[in-house]
Amino acid sequence: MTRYAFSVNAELCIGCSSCGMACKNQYNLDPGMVWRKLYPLSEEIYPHKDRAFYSLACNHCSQPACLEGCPVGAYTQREDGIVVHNEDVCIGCRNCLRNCPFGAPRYNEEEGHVEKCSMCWQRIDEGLLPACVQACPTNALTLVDLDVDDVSSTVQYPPGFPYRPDLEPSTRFVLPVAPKIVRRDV
Amino acid sequence: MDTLLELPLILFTLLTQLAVGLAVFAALRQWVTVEGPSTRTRNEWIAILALIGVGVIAAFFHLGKPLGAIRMLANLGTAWLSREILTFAIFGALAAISLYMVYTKAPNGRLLKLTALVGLLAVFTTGMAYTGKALDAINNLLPLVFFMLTVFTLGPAVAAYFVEEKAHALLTSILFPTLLASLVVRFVVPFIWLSGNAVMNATGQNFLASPLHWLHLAALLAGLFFVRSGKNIPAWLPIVLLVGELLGRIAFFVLVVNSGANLGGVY
Repeated sequence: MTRYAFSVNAELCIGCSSCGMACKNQYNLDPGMVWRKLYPLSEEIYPHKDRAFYSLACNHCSQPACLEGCPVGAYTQREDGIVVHNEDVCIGCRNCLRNCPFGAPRYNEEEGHVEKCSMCWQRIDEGLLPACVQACPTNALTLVDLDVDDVSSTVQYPPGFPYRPDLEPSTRFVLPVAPKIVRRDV
Repeated sequence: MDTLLELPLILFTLLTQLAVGLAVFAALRQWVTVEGPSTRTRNEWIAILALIGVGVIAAFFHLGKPLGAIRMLANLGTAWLSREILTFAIFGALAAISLYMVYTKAPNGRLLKLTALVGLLAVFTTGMAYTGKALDAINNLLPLVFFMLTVFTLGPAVAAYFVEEKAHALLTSILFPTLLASLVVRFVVPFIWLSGNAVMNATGQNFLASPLHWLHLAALLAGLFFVRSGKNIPAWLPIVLLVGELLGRIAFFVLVVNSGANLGGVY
């Protein structure tokens, strides 16, 4: 079996937003629409402002709340765990926005439907990496197979990320290393 | 959430819950006093149907693609929103049959009771549909409690327009304890949210800082002052309570913080 997931290494991430830009370019997203976004960790979690980030999109949960709550069945889950949203079926009721604690589905007011990350399943099926993963210059964002790859040194619910074991989000995280602060006496 | 964006759902939930409240008290009066056919009863059922109709039309404006609304019954297996649409459709049909019966012959007690029960079931499904997993503060039974309190506040209050004065005692016997319960619950809940996680705390702070919340409580308090057992419900009071519930409903839709808004922050 295969169970695809994003792995976010916050120690390697330099906050360049290449992942989000690659996503926008791949799908030619409308202005204002973002499927992947960079979230800086607050200073309560990491002591240096704007120095540690989580690059987040859909977490392709094992128990997706979006899929469960969608009244028109616009969401489906593939055998490899990828949660796919069909914009043609979606009627824009925005119930998934109320149900996803990770803020992944976005409402496109112009088009009247919701959109979200598809993990570039078409690219994966062709043996390619998702656009965001391919664009990451530091390898902070990678694609892993939870059934094959060793993810024992990663965490599923880091600080700054909602704790929702009932949904089982697939994304795994490597936490940023706390900086050693060296002060020079004046 | 944007108030304008949520206005259709604010109207849908409020108007349909008022319709259910009226249906419940119409059935209750029929059960307790056995009312015969009258113009007032007919007007009440016309009002119930009109409220459902306006509410449903309003709900269409919430959809990005209103023409796809029929597909909302596609996921009855897991989606409370699908179940909500189905139960409200049945409630609307039963209300239409009740109106026909009230017009042509004496009201049928069993039919009115069935209509009221299906209406309450529909409000139950609405309550479950709004327990959004992204909305920590209301990802529980609170939406159901809030909505039922609205049903049992607006139902007897607005029914006062459609009953003879001697029936006001029955209405006030339900309205007074409901107003008291609603005031206590709605006053206490935001303070409980303050002791929750960061998202719930932010929701609690939003409510406590919002005039919408306090005006809602003021309307309930006014109700408690002027609803007295054995006395008539003043004609202006249902309007005050309706405006209060509207403000409270706007607060419910606009002030509850989405968990996704805090990504990267402490939860």
